[in-house]
Amino acid sequence: MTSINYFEKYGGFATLYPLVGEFYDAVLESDIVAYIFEPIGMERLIEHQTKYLAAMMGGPGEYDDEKLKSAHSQFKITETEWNEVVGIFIATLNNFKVEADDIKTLASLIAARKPLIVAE
Amino acid sequence: MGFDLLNKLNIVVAICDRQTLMPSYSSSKFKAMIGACGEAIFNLFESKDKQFSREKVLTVDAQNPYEFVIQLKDDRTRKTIKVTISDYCKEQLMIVGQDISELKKLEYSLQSYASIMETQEKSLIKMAYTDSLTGIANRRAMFKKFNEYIEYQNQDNINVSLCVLDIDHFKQFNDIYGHEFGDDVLKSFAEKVTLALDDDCYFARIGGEEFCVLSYTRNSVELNTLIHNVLDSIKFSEILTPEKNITQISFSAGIVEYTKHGTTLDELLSNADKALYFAKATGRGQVISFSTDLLAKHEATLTAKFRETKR
Repeated sequence: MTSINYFEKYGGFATLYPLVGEFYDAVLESDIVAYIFEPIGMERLIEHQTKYLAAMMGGPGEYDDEKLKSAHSQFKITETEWNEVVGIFIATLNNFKVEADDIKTLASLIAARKPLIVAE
Repeated sequence: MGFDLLNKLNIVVAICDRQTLMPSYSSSKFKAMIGACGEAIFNLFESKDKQFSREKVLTVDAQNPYEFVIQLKDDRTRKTIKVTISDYCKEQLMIVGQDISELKKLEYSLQSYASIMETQEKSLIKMAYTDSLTGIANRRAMFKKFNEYIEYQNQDNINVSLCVLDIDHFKQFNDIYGHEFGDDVLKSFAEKVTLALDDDCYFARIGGEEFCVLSYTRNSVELNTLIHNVLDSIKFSEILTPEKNITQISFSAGIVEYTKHGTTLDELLSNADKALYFAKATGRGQVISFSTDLLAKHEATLTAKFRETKR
């Protein structure tokens, strides 16, 4: 998904899994979006986040935009909820000492997928 | 009691009465992580684990601890706790709670990552053995298939033959209509030949416009008949040029038989190539079986022409 391999740059799976773990905790602690993630279950949510983040950061695997769209359409995600999750994600990347420029690029990759996730 | 170290390991311990689970010792963190012992802990286990059974607690002895996992949640945090109730002494049981939330996250993330890697590996293997243009097997796959097949067959009872096919005048298609059309011809050719072959054949693109059919059940005469039929069906099919004109393609083919004309794929392909060149040099659009006579008869005159006439 990106020409720079952030996945390798930031330590591969060894960094990915604690990052996913922290992101998972953070979305479940959010007053705004916890209700969306709550019923999904830890195993499925961690699996989904690991796959998506690995692919997005240039690591192994691919993520199908159509699947991304169909997986989110049922939740009717609002602009506010979207901003909250993106904010949590950026904060998590900051906690893992991801460089500001790289966060910017990753955030823009996420922003490009906004129409697939946020309900019109 | 010496349990202080356990506090640091996210492990909490309580020693309780065997019947009532009333505590005689409870570590400082036990109450914070799990709650109070006694009737309250029975209620907690019952509410968090539908399978929980008070009767099973009564059967705990040195050989039979009771283990289960519960999810605990307060306003902000959720924890996955593994509970082990084990034998402590005659009158007492030990309840050990371990926060395995991080372990579970690692486990699920690792599972997911392993499945990505598995898919990735499969797709890399597939790519390595597939011709990206036509989607059929490539040269590497043909060598693998041939070597695997020959290795596991009884050599006394083996009927394997092989054919090299080369599209006639392919260079002209490329030169006149461009490489894109040339690619379309290759794709269409691969599709048509695949349809015309049966399950006893393995078909691969082994070079630019050169293809190979490996038959597991036919001698060279039988394969010659089959490839003749394929040639007929190809000759009758039509291809639309970029200018919307109808054109036709044909191929020339050389056939060899395993052991008679070689025992390695390199040797067989080399001899099939000789028969193929002969087919090209003597008119194209024909299938020729390799023979030593063929070589003796035509080698002197054709060798020089082989390369230049191939296309």
